Amino acid sequence: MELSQAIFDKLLAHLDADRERAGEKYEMIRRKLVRFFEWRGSVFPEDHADEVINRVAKKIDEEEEIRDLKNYFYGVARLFFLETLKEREKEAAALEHLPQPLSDTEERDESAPRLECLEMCLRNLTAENRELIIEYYRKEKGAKIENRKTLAKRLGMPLNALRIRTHRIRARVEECAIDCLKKSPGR
Amino acid sequence: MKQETRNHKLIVQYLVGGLSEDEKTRLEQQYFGDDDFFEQLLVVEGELIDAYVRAELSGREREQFEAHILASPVRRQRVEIARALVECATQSSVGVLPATEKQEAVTWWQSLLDSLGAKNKAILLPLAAAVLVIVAGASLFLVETVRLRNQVERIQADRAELLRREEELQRQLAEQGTHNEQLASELQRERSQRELLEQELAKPPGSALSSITFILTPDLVRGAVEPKRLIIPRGAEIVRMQIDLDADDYTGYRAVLETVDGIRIWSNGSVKAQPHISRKVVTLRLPASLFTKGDYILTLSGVSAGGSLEDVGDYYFNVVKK
Repeated sequence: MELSQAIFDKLLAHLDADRERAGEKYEMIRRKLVRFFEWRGSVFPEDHADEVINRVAKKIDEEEEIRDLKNYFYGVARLFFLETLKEREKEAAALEHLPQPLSDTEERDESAPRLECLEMCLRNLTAENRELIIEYYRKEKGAKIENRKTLAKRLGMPLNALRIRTHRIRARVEECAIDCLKKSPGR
Repeated sequence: MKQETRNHKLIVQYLVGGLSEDEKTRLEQQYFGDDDFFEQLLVVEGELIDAYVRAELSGREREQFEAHILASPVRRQRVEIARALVECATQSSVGVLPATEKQEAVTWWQSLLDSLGAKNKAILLPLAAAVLVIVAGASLFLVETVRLRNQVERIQADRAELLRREEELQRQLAEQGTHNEQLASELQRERSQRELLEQELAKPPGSALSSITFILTPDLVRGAVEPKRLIIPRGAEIVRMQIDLDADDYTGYRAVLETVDGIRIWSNGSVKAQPHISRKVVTLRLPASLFTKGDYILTLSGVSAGGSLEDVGDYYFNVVKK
């Protein structure tokens, strides 16, 4: 079911009176829905998230009384997830026919476009962010922890704030790399 | 700190599929309602993936990770990108960081000396002395400026940290307040519902409460595209819900009825299964007045011999009042 502009506008208005803030809230809810389906093991988390948004928008359009919109989104997502359990069995069966995971040798061959995309995405960052993320992920095991503590001290921020900051940069890089891989030939 | 560690463990268990349905639901409700908690989940997920690609997970953790996370193509892709990121970071010579161009170390005073040339050597000595005095003065000024600036930055950072802590405390206080209010209102609602139920059930048998029976079966959960519809006719006072059980392996059952947006409207922790024809059923009697138009979900859990709760099923339906 496609959402009409009018219904989508109603959904946004329900999220916030200010359209810009409503847009941000919409993005956050969609991100949560996608991750909910991903963490519950769905093969098509984005499609399912969109279906939930459509259903909630439809309920809003029908003027159903909704007390807590965030909880309502979650409730509809959970119900939809239950509905798709059967579909998932079919999906799992279909996936069994897909090629088996790559062996180590093949994995190395496949890693070239990934590295290229990642390097391109890292280059798109500001020098400061690029240096930060490279430094954060550089060391292994015990040295990694010490390295991060030193980095946090150097930047004058608590370790947890550094974790969150690098996570945000990493999320941007990850989205960029996924997008780049979709566009790269042979994919 | 202990709470943080417990949260971290809970999140990791959620991400590797190690929680019960009840625990999953609680955690999901929490991250849908709290953006910061959601971000915390994303951070922990990133760290878990890193630990996997760096082979830092224990045998059991690794098995759980592979069984749950690698089963999804989207998450496999995240793992591969993390692998590439760690590779890039550990071999940063691959050219990720643009090499900083090393400039020839020719300072301004060397250039000045060069331009004066050998023929003006007579003035070089006094000039050098004057330059030294100026440089020394400027250095002192610079050192003092840097010291003051560092001091200001430190004070600003301390102030920001204090403000952040204050905001955090205020947020925690507000959350606690909301939580208390929610608990109080939930308690009040449960009390009123219990009273209502007791009043209705206390009516003499002769008053013949009109009731409607609704049978819930497991296929309502797994096959249906649309939720089952429960039509409550005008005048109905009691809704009897009958749940057919595949087996009766528990000492008792707990039933919780919620609206689709997670508002608990009724619960009973001491339900018993009863024989019905050739099978066992759980029967719930609820006042029809509890229901309004909308979607509902009924969660049935079994109480094991050890007292723990195990999921039996979620049954959802749509109520229409005529």
